[in-house]
Amino acid sequence: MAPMIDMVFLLLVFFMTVSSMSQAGHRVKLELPESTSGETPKDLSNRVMLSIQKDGTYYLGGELVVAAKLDSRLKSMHDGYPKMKLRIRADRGTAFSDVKKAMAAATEAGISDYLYGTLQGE
Amino acid sequence: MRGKSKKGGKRGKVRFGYVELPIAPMIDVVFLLLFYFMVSATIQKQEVDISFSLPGRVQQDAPIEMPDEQIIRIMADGQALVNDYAYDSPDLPRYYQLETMLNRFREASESNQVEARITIAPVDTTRHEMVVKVMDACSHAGIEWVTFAFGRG
Repeated sequence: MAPMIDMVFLLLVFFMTVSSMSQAGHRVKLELPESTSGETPKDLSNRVMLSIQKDGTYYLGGELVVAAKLDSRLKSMHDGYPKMKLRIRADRGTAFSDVKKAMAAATEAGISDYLYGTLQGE
Repeated sequence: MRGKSKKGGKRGKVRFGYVELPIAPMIDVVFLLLFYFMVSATIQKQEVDISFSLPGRVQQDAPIEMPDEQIIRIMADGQALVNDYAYDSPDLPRYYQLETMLNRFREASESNQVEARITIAPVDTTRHEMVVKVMDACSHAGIEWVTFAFGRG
């Protein structure tokens, strides 16, 4: 009986940890598009996350940013980290015009490396 | 468990024996918790990245020559057009015809010893997932040089 209880407790701790970790990692809730060619990131350094909701609301990291201030915010970030990449997490229904605005602001800020965040497709 | 003994017929003397933890209800609770966390910890799809670069805003004195460039236009409904020819239905999960064309384009560029370049030009109302599908097609065709076209404003 004792080993079985040990195993059950171990499994319980595992699932409790996994469940809290998966919630901690995530930020702005989006329905990301699926991609069959995306690569699992190996290097997570030098990246700034920009989330774009379906209605065109921007979040830099987890912070709400108005479109007019996006370029100045990105510029100050780029000045601090010139090697930064912009990881764009846009909802699958986001209009390209909203993604374009973000890319234009980032280009003005001097950023040239981008990543699209997608879900692993089948 | 509390043991009660009677010695010599005397009543009122109570002796405490060993205490036993009730295991069965505890296991029931632990199993319930385990079941709850197993169910709530649904298998989440992993996030992956598609990388690309934009040319930036550096002023050029002379136009850059791009001999092997194709421009893929994406309409509002997700229809991909190359030289005004429509490839695949936007409802398809993957653009196979476009992939085949891009594969041939890459092979032709390689035989000419130049790099195959793709510029994606979606209209403003194109949904983001359609852009990702076209980028997937480029990636499956082995084209690494992909960028976007958008005017000022």
